Amino acid sequence: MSEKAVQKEPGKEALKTLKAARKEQIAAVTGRMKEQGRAVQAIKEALAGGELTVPELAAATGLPPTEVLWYVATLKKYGEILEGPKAGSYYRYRLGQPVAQKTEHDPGD
Amino acid sequence: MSSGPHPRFDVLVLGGGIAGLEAALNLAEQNFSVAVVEKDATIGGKMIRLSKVFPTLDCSSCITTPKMAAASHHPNITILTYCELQTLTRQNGDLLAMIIQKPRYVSEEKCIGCRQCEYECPVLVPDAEQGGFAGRKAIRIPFSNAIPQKALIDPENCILCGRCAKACPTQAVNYYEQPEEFTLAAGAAVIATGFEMLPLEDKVQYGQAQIPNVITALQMERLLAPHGPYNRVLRPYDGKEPDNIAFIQCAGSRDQSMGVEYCSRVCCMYAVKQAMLLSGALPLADLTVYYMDIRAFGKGYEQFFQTAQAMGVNFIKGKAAYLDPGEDGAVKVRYESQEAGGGVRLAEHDLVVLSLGLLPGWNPEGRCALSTGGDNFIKTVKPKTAPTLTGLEGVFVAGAAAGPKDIVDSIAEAGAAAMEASRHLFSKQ
Repeated sequence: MSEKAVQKEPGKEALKTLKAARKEQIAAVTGRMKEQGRAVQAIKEALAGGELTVPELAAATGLPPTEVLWYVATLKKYGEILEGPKAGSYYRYRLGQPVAQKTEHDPGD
Repeated sequence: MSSGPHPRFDVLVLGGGIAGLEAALNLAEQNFSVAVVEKDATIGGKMIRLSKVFPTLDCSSCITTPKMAAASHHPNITILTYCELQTLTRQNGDLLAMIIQKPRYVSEEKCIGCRQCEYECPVLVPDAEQGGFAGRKAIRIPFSNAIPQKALIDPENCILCGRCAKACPTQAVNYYEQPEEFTLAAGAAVIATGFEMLPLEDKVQYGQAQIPNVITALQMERLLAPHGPYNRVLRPYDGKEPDNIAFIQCAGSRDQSMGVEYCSRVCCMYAVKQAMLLSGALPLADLTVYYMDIRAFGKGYEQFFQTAQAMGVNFIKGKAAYLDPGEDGAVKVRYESQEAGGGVRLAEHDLVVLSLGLLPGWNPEGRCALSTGGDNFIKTVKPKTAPTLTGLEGVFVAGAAAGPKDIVDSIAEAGAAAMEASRHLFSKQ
């Protein structure tokens, strides 16, 4: 067994123990995370067809407008959605590029 | 700092908001060693979370950030964030502070603030730093100008998936951190624990946070901030740009039913400020302020109020009795007008901001022998001649910890508390 593997093993065991201790909480958060994933997916699929406002996104996805706006604001923060032009009293949103590979902290975001 | 059984500082400052930082900087400039103990993961307090300040409309973070940076880089100041004071006692003439360092689950020494972990984390959580209007990740840096720029994990929302640990270029993530207890000794202490806003849920007549588009003044600060959740002012209900916004004054202050009988002092001016900022951001919007009295007591405040009136903000003297949800996200305001004609009236707005009362940010009960007044803020023993003196020798108070006050008064009081602490330390030499 290499030295690196020897160091890694106790970490894995400890993580397993920690996961077991937090089993119920992790299950609850994972359930929420899956719901979030479905909502984000639905919003992105709707936006793949073109720019939409929050009420239009709500109609397209079946999600409440408050929830849609929350996801839009969140995804905008991480660069996955961009704000487009205004349509009446609402702004349109479009898909952006995810910033997962971002290496430098942007003080402006 | 000197060593001994416990690390010793000349002064312990409890709270890293504007009052605490100002007191710490004043003392550090006099060559005293200072430890700033902050319960949050960043210093800056409420002020760093505001958009602009009244009556000058200066950018709040532009004023606060240099103070935060000056304190964090000062050779005589040690900043201890994410720490809770457990007890403050006296032993052999020194104050002993027992403190708990809450676990960040990220090593402060190793974290370089690159946020790779944040981008990798799959869990979204309502971001209190943005009024809950947007999400953050379970691992995150609190906000872009937080000091220190160090990540922390919210264990209640972490699924231990390991993505953050894998993404971290410095192996800073440590899921196994535990709270750590330590003790500091100090010759004097300045209590600058600030305020909290009355919870939105507390006022039954105003919907207990169940009416869409009824928000708190601190949430409005985030909507007005350039790096806010939407980067513009939108209704949280559906993203509509509001045409008609109202402010309800004394929403929980001067209100016996809420247990807040005092005037919170800053609400009139922050509502005027927000209305002025809104008239700039949304020039066509109707802006209404329902008030009992306008208390414009500070330098330049009356002119500020008059400028808001001249800009077209509609001030209605009347007490809002009930708020109810209207059609399409609107909010119905039932109020008793005290203007000509008077009577109970009904108005409808797109968005309603509650100017909620201020509550003490910290309760010393069970932690130290400091006493509080009838308003639950820290009691001062010479409120007129030495307003920073508490009932404990060598322990001084500054800012909103002693009662609601604005930034100007908090800074002035912080200077006074620093001077009293300095005098106390010299008298002991």
